[in-house]
Amino acid sequence: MSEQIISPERLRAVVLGQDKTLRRVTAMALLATSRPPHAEDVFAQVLANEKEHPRMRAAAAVSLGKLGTPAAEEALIKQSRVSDQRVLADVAKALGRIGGERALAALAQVRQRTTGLVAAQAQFAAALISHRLGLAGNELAAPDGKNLIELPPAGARPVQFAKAEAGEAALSLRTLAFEPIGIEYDQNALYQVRCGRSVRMLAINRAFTAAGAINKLTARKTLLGAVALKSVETDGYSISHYLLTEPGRQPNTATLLVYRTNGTQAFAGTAQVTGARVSFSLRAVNHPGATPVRLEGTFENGQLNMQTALAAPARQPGRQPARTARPSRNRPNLTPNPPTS
Amino acid sequence: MASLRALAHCIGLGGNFSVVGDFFGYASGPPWTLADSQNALPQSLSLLTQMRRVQKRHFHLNLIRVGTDDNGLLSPAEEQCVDCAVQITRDIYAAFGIGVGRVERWWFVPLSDNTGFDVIDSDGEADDLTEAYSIPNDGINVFYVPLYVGSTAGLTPAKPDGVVVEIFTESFLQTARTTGHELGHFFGLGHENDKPANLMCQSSKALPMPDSTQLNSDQIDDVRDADEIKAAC
Repeated sequence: MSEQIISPERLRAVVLGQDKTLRRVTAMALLATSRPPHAEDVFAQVLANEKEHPRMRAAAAVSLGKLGTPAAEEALIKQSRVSDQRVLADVAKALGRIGGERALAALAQVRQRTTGLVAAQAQFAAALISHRLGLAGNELAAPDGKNLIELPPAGARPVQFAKAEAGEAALSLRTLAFEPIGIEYDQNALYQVRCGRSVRMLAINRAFTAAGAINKLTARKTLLGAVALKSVETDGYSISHYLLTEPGRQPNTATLLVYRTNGTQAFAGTAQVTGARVSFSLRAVNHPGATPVRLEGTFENGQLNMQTALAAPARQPGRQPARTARPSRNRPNLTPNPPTS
Repeated sequence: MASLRALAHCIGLGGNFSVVGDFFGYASGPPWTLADSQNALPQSLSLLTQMRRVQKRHFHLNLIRVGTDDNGLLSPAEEQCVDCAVQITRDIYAAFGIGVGRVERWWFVPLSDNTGFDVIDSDGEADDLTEAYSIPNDGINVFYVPLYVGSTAGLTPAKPDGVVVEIFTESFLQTARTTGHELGHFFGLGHENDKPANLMCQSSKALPMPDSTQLNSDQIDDVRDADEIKAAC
């Protein structure tokens, strides 16, 4: 498909399934990034349409989350009573990213009447909102020390942290704007993180980088920032982890919790706040696919200094997918094999 | 030429095996009748050709289909699309003297696992998927998902976790190209967006399939040097 400019009208028609000349989710992505007036209405229509395939409705929920507008939040809250669990999981997830206190009430109702993935997504979504707004309730569990993985004694490789160059910083902010999570990043506190071939960007919430602001970590829950993966495909950045904090049990401390976007707790640690300086350490939480790390450093006046930044050469094994024996030829939904030539 | 049994053993197949099901690794062979169009799709399989291909350097694949039913199946069209994509990927890389050897076809993540991974909502979630699952063998994991929300239909988050490819039943050719393209990233290749006939040109800028599957000599060398490339059988 050659590159071409596609009108908002055509994008709407594709999203609504009226024009089949373009992949529907591509049109959703283009509509969500171009943000013409009333784009929310198109996505809301797909989301509300029970005759649509659940996956397409889920994609519409995702797209509303990417718009991040009050109208998008409203459309998601309205659909938080949908019965299809696959759709509801993505409605909850999107609300976690962009919702406010009204969304919290909707998510509480979702949690009450669901189980499994939907309930878990709703719980994590509520936690995200609560941390972002500094509200009581929806606390996250800090892992037991036994659940933190120590770095193996041999073979560790460095994790490189470097202040983002201007062009890369601008690129990350520009692409992260298409995945709003209700915070603004400090453009002077963007750090590129390299480990092996993986390139990520650490972006800090600017509400906590001004002089003295870091003390808030000991007083309230925060959505401190995000880590975003650089895509080889688009060159843009996409959030891979949320950085959350909760006031620690000890004075002038905070608990650091790093979650993957699916709600898996990936890393945890502690922060000690002394004046304008935060000294922190992070370890990996034991989970399938975890990468053992040792990350220790300080953050002061928007400046990050790493004293130790190491990762294991390999991840722990992930879960093994299910496997079936090769079905017989007589399975009704497989065509028979032709003779080989 | 070595015997079929010897070649099968070389790529990790033991005991009794099916030619199409195990040696090729397909649910069904061509013609893949559920494709919208048969234009440029393979119409037959050649055992002799595949035997010759594994007698060159090659790599193995684990196909992990996400969002299946509890029997491990996607829709018939999606299953055919996967088989077709892998065969075309074989043809693409064979043009550079690199074969696709063992294809472990029947790994799956069922919908009932309630992971939400059947709808990948961002590159970050694709990264979650490749972190969450692993298979203890020497194959490259190719996660086939029914829907990848966004302007791209695939991602290679990081080595060695694998690649994520959307099954686009509206175009078996496009699914194939995305598979070959993402594997190219896995082997370390970057984009070549000023070369519309190149496999590593992004699809929005590339020539339509089947005219956008070329690799230049430097790219071929980089693929051949990748850790996952096995010696010839």
